[in-house]
Amino acid sequence: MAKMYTPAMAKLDKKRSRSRSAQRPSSPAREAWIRLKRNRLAVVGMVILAILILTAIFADVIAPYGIDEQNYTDALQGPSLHHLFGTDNYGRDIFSRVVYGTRISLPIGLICVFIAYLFGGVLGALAAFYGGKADMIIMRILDIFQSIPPMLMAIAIAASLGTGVVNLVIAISVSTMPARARIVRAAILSVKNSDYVESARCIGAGSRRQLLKYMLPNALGPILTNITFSIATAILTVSSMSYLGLGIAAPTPEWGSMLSAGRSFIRTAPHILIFPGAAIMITVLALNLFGDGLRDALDPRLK
Amino acid sequence: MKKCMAILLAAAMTAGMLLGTASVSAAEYTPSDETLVVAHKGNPTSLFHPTVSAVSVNTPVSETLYDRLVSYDAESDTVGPMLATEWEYIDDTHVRFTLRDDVTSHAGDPFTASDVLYTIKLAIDSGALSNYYGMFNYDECKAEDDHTVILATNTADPYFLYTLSNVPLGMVVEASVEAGGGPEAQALNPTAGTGPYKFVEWSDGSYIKLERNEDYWGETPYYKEVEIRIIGDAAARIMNLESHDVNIALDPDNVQVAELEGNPDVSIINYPTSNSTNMQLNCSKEPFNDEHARKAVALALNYEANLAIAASGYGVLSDSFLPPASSRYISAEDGGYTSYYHNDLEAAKEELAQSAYPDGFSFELLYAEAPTFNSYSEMIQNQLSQIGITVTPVPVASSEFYDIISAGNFDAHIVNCANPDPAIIFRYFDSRIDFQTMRGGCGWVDAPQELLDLMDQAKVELDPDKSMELYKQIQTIVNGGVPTIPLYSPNKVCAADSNIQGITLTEFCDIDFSKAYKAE
Amino acid sequence: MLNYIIKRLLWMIPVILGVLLIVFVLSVITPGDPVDNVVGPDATVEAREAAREEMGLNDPVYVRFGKYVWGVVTRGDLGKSYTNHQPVVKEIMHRFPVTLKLTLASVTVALLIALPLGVLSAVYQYSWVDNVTMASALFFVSIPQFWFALMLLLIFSVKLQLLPASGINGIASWILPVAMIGVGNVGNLARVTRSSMLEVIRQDYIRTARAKGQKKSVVIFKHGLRNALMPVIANVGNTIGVSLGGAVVAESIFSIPGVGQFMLNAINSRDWPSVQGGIVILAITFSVVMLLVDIVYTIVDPRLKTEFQSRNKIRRHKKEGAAV
Repeated sequence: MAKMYTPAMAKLDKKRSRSRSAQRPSSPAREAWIRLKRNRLAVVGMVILAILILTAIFADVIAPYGIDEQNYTDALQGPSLHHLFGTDNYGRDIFSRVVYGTRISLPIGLICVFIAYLFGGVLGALAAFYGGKADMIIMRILDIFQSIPPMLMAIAIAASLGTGVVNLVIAISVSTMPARARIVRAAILSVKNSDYVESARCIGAGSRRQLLKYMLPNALGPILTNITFSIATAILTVSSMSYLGLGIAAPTPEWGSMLSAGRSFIRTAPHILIFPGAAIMITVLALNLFGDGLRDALDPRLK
Repeated sequence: MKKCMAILLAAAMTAGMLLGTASVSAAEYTPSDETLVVAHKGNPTSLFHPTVSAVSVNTPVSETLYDRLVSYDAESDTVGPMLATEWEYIDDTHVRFTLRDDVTSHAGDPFTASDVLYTIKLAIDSGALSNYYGMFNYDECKAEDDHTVILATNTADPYFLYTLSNVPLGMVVEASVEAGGGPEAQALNPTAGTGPYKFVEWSDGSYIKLERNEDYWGETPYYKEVEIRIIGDAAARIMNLESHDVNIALDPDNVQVAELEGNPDVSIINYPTSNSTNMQLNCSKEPFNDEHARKAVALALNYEANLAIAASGYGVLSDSFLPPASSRYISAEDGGYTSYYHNDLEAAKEELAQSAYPDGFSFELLYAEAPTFNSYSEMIQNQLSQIGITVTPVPVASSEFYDIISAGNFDAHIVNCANPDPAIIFRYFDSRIDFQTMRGGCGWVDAPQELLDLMDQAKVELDPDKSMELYKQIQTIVNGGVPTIPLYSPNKVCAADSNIQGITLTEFCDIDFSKAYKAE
Repeated sequence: MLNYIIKRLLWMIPVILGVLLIVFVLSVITPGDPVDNVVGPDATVEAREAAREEMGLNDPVYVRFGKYVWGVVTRGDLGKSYTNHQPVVKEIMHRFPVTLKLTLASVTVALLIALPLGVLSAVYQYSWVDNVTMASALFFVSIPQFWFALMLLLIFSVKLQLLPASGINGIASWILPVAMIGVGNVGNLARVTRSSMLEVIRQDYIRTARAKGQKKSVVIFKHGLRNALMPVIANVGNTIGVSLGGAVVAESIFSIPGVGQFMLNAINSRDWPSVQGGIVILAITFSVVMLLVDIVYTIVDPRLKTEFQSRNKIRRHKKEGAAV
């Protein structure tokens, strides 16, 4: 007897398959992503970040003027249709410079955090993994580094090495490295004694295999959240250092150094001070919103 | 009109130099009980100047505590009597000074001829300032009696009297130094000066209090007390002036001073100086061993815009390596030479085409970090990019700066040539002096022999007319070779309450407020 | 507990030695010749050489470090300033109170504002109070301190002319610097307070207390707050570290004569002994503060206290056991 395949049955099939896919055990990353998408503020943060990254990539298309296009007759003009954010004392278009600034602040923030995590992460992971004496020694050395507040440490290092992008990155990375090491250590410790690592150990996985395959991925949640916040902090520190004259020097359109150069014009042309600062704030705000969302999404207790 | 004045004044100056004139202006005020508050940029390194380097943070205090042998009048660029009432040249290298006999130090000891020798000896032994004390031939300096002293120089020195009017050569009284615990103790608690104000209190890093020297030999100062308040931030000094917390703000930020123009409560003291801010080119190596490359750079710069924006207009432009305020300056027109220090892009491109780098080149521009220099380097970078020259600004700390230029390890650097003696300025172009000795310079190894000969003559020529002629030829040769680019001659600027009068300049173009008074 | 405190105190010694080593290494790798700062650029070669000898710069590096540490340990001597030849300790000590007051004032103000806001947000979770507080907290955390200071200057000093723009004379002049240093801390502490308060509110004993019919306010303040305070106290040390850094920036912007301004000026003139001294003093201050915070934490934390007690009990039992 030939089985009839009716449209009703087809519908039923579809429903079944859909429910089957819903039942498929989804990965924690996927779940987190779904939770993240539901968080409206986090989405706002992500959208802003996406816009900033696109701005950095297409800066030459977006910016109406060059990065260092001095036009002395147009100096110190307020915001207008020609110059959205006005001009500075050299007649440079501030909007264009703020746009180009995304190419500096975002990558430098990322690099600082990357380096801090690279070195801090290795130290923290070693400390957590081997425990005992190794842990004690590493943590005490980090204690010593941390007894100098990070901002002061960065100032001291930058003062010693001199200004410039590379020195600034070194200063910020070194000064934040101990805190990063602690985060990684804590994250790994929290999973070290959990059941799945225990079972991996039981089936005879080697220590490196344990570390890489089982611990790191599971410890990644708090680390990812911290990376997001760290980038925000790094961007703030870069701009503060540039403002103090210990970071990136003019004419590079780094937002902090633009503020530093414009501070003499606080009375006559405050617009020079308003826009670069607002750019820093929006970037940091977006990172913080995203970080908050990420934390909530990755924290199983807050489900 | 101005030139006429200058010639008259030059004549007066010559007369003054040879004879020494004693003119005391009549008092325009009656001394009051008021306090003058001066906002100053930094904590002095010492209050006893002969044994320390003459860093500018010390000058405002030193100039009020110590008198010099001769005074300096910036307005007429002349030297007048101070502790010495008159002087005469015995020969080209020996000058006899007659000293006042009514001068005592703040500690009460009389000032005599031996104190002059003592001060000079201390200064020479400190080794701090080879430029200032190098000309003394100390072995031949001697006191003839208590109030007559002969000072000797190694060679004839047309600027000798000017140097004596300089604040670091303020006189101290030996007996007071010894009684006051020697130079170390005097650095903190000076009593050996004879100046119009006495030291009262130094609260380290925050203020220095001085009081009127009631026994002063000269005109009694108007203010009973002077408080020099140390405010590191330029903007804060101006804000304090606006809020009437201070009466005079020294070394303000040019941009902020420009914003004060038109404020009826504030007067802006804006004096042209004999300082010159130059971009020195290293002529001993590529790319600036090429004269055409040097000229291309000189012609590509927009001097007017740079002065207006980077220095807020507080300065003057020059055709020559000497600033217009220098007594030996001669303009291109009067001197009949070609000046390359003006903006002409077409001519710049032509020079570049003739150089070894027709497609442009790149160089590093070194400077000691300062707001004005930052601005200048940014603008220079932009202007030279228009003819295909790439500039990399290299701002460093001042100590590093002198290290680098002393090693001759630079392409070009910006430096402020702050010496009123034109003979000191032309040392920068003297190829016989290496970078280490000069602590900088242009390394102009291709300089013509004729120039070196002219320099040697000008250095010792006492006759003003002959000297002027020598300097005219020197300027023609140097400006033709463009080893340096005079960016501008900075004015000395300070802001004060509008009713304060009598603020003048010292010989080294620092603000002198020791004769300040309040107008009715 | 006493053991713990003594241990922590002893630990200060290697920390301080470590800090001295760090700043010393930084001073050695600095480019430029420190002699120039002392004798000026016009000095003769002999004068420079004499100064170099006098400053001990001709000694090998490890001898210089040894001398430096010896001077600090035996005489509290942080060296002499390159620029004005005054002992650095003296220079710093009369500026130090300003920096400390500024830091503590801003932390105190931040706590006074952040704690009530955080508690309110937690108690009225998802209400408009919560939303407004958390939105502004996020805003405060994200705003660059120095830019906030510039905006405050622009509004209150330049436009409205209400508050002084610089210096420390009178109460009014403290407002802007304290606001600047405190802004990030308010945001941060409010967020920490809220989340720890929320966690506590969800705990069983609060529910029990509420179920027993106690008033809401009593429950919150008597049972909730004390426990919720723990993460906040743990955060205070960190906050003070951040504020010390902030004070340095504030002193530069508002030209306040504190250690920070002193250090930044010293950096500009490459006066390393002064920079070193400033960092050492601030690092020691920070370490002492952290120590105090740790001690307060152990005293306040009920869990740790019982742990100590039980540990002591166990020890006592052991001793008794051994005696028997």
